[in-house]
Amino acid sequence: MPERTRPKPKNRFEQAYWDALARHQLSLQRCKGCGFVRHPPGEFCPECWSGEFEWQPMSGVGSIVSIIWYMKSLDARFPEVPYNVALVRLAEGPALISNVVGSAFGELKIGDPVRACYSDEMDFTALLFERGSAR
Amino acid sequence: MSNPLYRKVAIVGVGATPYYRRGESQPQTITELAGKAILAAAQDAGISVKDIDGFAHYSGGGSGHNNFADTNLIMEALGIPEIGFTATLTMGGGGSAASIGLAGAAILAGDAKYVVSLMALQQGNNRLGVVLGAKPPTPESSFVQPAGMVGPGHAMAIMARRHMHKYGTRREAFAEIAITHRNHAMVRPTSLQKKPLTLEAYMSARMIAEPLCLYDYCLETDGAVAVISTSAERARDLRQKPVYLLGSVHGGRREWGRSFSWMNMPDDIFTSAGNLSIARLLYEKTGLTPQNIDVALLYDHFSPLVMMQLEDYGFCPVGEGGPFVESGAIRMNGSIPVNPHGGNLSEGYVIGMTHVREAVEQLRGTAVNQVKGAGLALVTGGPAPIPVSGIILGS
Ligand SMILES: [Zn+2]
Repeated sequence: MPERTRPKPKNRFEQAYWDALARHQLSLQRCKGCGFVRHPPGEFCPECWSGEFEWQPMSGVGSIVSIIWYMKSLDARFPEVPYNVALVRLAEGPALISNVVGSAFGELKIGDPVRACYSDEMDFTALLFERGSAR
Repeated sequence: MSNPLYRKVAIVGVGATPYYRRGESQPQTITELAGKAILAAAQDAGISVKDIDGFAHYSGGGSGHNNFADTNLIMEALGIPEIGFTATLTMGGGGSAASIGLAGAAILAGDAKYVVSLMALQQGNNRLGVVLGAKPPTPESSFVQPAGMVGPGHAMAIMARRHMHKYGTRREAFAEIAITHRNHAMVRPTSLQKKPLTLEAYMSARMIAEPLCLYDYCLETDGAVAVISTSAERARDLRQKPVYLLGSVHGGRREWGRSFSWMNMPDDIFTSAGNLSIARLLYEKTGLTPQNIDVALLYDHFSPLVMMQLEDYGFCPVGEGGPFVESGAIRMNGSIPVNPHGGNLSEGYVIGMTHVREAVEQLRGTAVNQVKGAGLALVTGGPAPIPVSGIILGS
């Protein structure tokens, strides 16, 4: 198992994102002014400049935009190879860098449907994805 | 065409240290490397180091790490008496090319007469290639590091994979880029990699972040390159044939933004090198087209990004970079020779300044792999978080 290191939120918005993940909930900021869903979390809506927002739970479903496989470990915290790093675009719009777990090298392709799953680490929860549609 | 810089400023001196494999420039200090490059550039130009009165840096004046030679330290070390300009473009290697434009702005404004643009790089234990993975998390890396994303080149492998998916781009195209750079580097004395590279060797090389292999990644280098710019009038009285600045653009679009530390670009931008807007402005400012460019010095940290820059700068249509490269177009006898010095991939990696050096040699007509009659050169900065940049130089 990889030793995922605890992220370092830089502000209260990022902190809230990680706090929600700890409850196994993927929530992103939805602008109260215009409804735009943004990521990474931040101060303003880049579409209408409103600072008003709510944390909206995401469906957790999306698809693989692109994917790479590490064939050699370059980070001691990730000793087991091959492992993938994927860009997943959520149904709600934003894209996230994550791992698609539970599938072997060669079993995943761009466009595959994925859904969020959660991995409780020592002191935070990581957002992962697995192949499949909405539960 | 509105461009007050057009042919008003020229590069008159270039100096460099040898290029070293990462760590092998020790026990020299970073100031020593920077100083040697500046002394050599001043000698090349035929001016005294005491004439230098400006600095136009990029990458925050350093290599993105705490070990760097800032203006005040260089002045102290080299006894430069007084300066009227010192500034740096923000962020990282994206600004390398436009550090010449920043120098030009200072000269045109009358703030300084002889302006140094510089990169001195000593990676030591701070390997840029694994900068995301080797360190404790920062706010910037917090959204990618928990997934085991180790370096910028691996984020760019994700972009390359998407390009392959959308356009049918083949690994053979990346191989052609790597092999062309190696062929160019093999005959250049300054190169760190002179061993021939075959398609078979490329195809059987160790995968780093599949689909990219060892040869898709640039070298890890120590070294320094300094470039001195001055006004076109002063340039005419100096030792070297002036190399004129025709246009310089740095910046970029919000959609490109933080690029590989963010990855939320819309799909058409995601598979680009983030230079579409830079290219458009640069051609507008100079009144030139891709067909006018004789040689392209494209920042080659990762081979697929060379292909994407060829698309951004209009040397081929978007999506056709793969077949274009595979046709041999970037070789010395191709329609647009790319990086005749061997680039970051095979000569050495000094965060973009080796490309400026090569452009100057091409336009002076003194390059090792000389493009016959080269009169116009495009130089780009690194496809990286904003700013990205490009300049056109002319003889
Ligand atoms: Zn809004």
